Amino acid sequence: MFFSSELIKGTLKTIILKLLADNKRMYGYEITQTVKELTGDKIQLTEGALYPTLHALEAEGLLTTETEYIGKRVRKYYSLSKDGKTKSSEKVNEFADFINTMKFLLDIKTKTT
Amino acid sequence: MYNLSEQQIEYILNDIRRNGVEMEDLQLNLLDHICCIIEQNLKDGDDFEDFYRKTVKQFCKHELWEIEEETIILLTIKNYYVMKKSMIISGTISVVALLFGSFFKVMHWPGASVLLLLGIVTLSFVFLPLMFLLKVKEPTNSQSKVVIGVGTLLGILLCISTLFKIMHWPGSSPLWLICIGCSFFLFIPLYFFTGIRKPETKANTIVTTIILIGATGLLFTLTSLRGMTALDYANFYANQDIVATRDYLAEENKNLLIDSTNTKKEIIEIKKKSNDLCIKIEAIKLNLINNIEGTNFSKIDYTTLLTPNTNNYDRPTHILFNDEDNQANSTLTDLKRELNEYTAFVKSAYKKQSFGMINTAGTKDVNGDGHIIPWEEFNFYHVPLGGVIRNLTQIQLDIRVVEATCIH
Repeated sequence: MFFSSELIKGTLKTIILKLLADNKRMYGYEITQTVKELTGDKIQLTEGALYPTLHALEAEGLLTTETEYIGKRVRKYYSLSKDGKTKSSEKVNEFADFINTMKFLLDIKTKTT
Repeated sequence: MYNLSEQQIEYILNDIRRNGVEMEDLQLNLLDHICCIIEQNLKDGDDFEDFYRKTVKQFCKHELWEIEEETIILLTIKNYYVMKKSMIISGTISVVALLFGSFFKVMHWPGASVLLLLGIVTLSFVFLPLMFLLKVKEPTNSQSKVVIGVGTLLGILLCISTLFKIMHWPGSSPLWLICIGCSFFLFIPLYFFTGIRKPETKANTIVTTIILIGATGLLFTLTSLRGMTALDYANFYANQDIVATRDYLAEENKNLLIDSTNTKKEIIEIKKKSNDLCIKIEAIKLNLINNIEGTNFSKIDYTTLLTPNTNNYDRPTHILFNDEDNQANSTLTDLKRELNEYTAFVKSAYKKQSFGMINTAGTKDVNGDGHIIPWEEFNFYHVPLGGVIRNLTQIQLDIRVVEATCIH
């Protein structure tokens, strides 16, 4: 089962920031693959959503970049800036809170034992 | 793992560019990404191009350029909020400055001009351009964008004309006329014909157009159609009469000195002082006329004074008063001092005689409607050129009358 792109759109920034917090530096393809592996193919980031968000995060000063040459082509690595690190934990906490609220709101019974 | 050749990488990059991705950063990101996918998944026997097409298809809904568009939207959305915030802040500043500025201006308090300047400059050079940029970004057709652009320019021009008018700077009237002309012949038709075509804006357009025409018409009557009034003509003819009396008295006074054999010291002095002051006042008038009419006369011809500038009060006020605090400048303060010295001298030299005219030749403040209006303001502030000239001539006549009373 895939999650709809609407659901992913709202959480994409949080996903990217958290991944970069855990992995120091990553490039675009690596991010999509890591998400795919970690979620057992349930969340598949589309390139059409990933790259615009990466550029926006960079413009906001949350990400820093390094470029490396891989043969003839260039690979851009993304890592968290100082602001990005604070933002990352903020976003994760906010989302955890959001999940709890949604659980309560939608009255989802989870097996927590 | 599949090994991509240089030609294949070049092929992919060219295809990305051909599909409308123009940002270099994004091109390189996508290139690396596609290469990674191909390297990981393409098997040796598979067709490269076929696999490439299938891969790119999964990237977005239709075409690759959508990724770039989405990127630009995300990048500008932050700018958008900053601009919107600045627009609101600058709008608030200008409204507050204009409100206080107008109030200060009415009360003749210092700082009025600075506040008005701040308000108008912020309004026309920060608020209106920002509003234009934000409005243009909204998804409208190009015709509406032209209307917004012309409207913004007109708004800026209107603000600047108002500033010129308030500060009594030369050229305010032509600026106003240009503004009203542009509004009437350019903006309103443009706005009307753009809006009337769309059924959803039709009713709104008609109402707004009527309001705009009404407002423009009001501004027109307020500013440019103020032709010569009866008062302007009265001033002109009264001035000629006063000049005639003044010159007659001056001549009489002069001849009296020739007839008189044992001339007293005071008489010689009063004649000299009267003459000097009259010459000085004549010079002030000449300077005003030359300055405002752009002429270079050396003597005033009182029969040709009725010109389109006769009812203009901006220029004389600008010349005789400071812009900053609306206080009279040295021309008037010097004149006031000399008039006071003159009347003081007359009163001390001719103690026993009474002079009714000495009060009008003096510089008494005027009691108007319960509060005291300073002499300078009463006679010259916002007084049209014709009135200023007449008031100055009146002072000359008063001096001659005082002179005549003294020497007889």
